[in-house]
Amino acid sequence: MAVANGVPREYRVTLDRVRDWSSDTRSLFLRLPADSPLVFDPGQFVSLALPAGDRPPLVRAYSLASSPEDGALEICVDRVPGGEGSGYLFGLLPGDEVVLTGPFGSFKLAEPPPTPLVFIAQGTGIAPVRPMVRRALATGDQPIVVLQGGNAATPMVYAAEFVELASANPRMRWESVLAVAGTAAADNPQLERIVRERYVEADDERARHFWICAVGALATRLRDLLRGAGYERRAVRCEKW
Amino acid sequence: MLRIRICYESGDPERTIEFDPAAAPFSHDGEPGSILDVLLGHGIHLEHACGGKCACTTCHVILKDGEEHLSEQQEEEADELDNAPGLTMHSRLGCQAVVTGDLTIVIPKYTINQA
Repeated sequence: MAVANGVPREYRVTLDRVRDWSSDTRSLFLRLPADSPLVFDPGQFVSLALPAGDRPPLVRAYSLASSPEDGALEICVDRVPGGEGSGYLFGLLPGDEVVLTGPFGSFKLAEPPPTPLVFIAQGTGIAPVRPMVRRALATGDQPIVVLQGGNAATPMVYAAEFVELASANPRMRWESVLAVAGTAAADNPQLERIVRERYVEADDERARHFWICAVGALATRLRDLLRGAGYERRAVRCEKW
Repeated sequence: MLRIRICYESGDPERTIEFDPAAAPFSHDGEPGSILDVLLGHGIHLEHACGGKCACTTCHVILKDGEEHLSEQQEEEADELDNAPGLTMHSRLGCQAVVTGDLTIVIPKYTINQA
C-alpha cells in the first residue's frame, strides 16, 4: 500500500502488551495492521478517538515514545485522577483495539541541526524526547544533553536506557534532575535553575537548539527563559501538555 | 447572548449558533469559551486532533468578521499556526481563541488532518 510520507490518516491498532512503570504510569505497545505502516518523525504524536466520556469520541493526544524504526507504537500514559481518557486506556487489555489518527505535531526532530542539542523534559514529557535522542545519535556528531526532570514520587521512565546510551556515546550526557519533596508533580524549580545557570548565565553561546516538553506553566517558563535570553525562537521548540 | 456564524470553504450549508459565554465550558476540549469549545458544545464538528491543547493545527479557522472579538493570540498559538496549511492573516486556532463578541468564521476545506 502506498503511504504518503507523514500524512495523517486513521489506523485501527491492537494493544499488544503493557509495561507498568508504576501503578499510575504505563506504556502501551500498539500493533499496527500488517499492511499499514505509520510514517512519522521522532517527537510526533497520535490522536486517539476513545469511546469514553459523556460525548464520545473523546479525543486525546499521546506522543510516540517509540522510534519510527521500532515497528510497534509505544505511548506512555499517566493516570489522571478522574481522567476519562487515561482511565479508559488503563482499562484496556491485550487484544483490545483502539482507533487513532496520526502523525501530528511540529515538535519533532527529523534531521538534527549541526549544533549542540539540549532536551529538557519533566515526567512523562520525556516520551517524545526518547525517539528524538535516538535519531540524533544515529545521524549526527554534535553534543547532546538530556535533562530529565522528575520527582521522588514518580517513575523516571526510560532512565536506564538513557544511562546506557550515554555510556556508549561520549558526546551524549544524561542527567536526572529531581525536584525537592513537596513540589507539585508538574513543577521543577531545580530544573529551571540548572537551565538558567547553564544556558543563560554561564556563557554567550546562543547556537544551541532546545526541545522542551513538560506540563503547563513549566514548559512556558522554560521556553520564555531561553527565548528571552537570545536564543532563536525557532531553535527553542516547546511542547506543553 | 453571542452569535457565531460558521461558513464552510467546502460549500456545506452555513450554520449560526447563539450561546451564553457565562455558561462555558460547553465541552471537554479547548480553552473554556473558545471557538472549539463553543462549537463542540453545540453539536458542530471541528477537528481537534490534539484534544484542544494547542499542539496541532487541525482546529484552524479563518475569521471573516469579528476578529477583534477574540482573546489575544499567545505565543504558543502563533508557534503552532506557523505550521497550518492555508495560513492567512486572519487565521486562529479554534481551541485557543476565546469568543468575546459576535463572529463569522470560515472552516477551511483542508486541515492537516485531511491533507
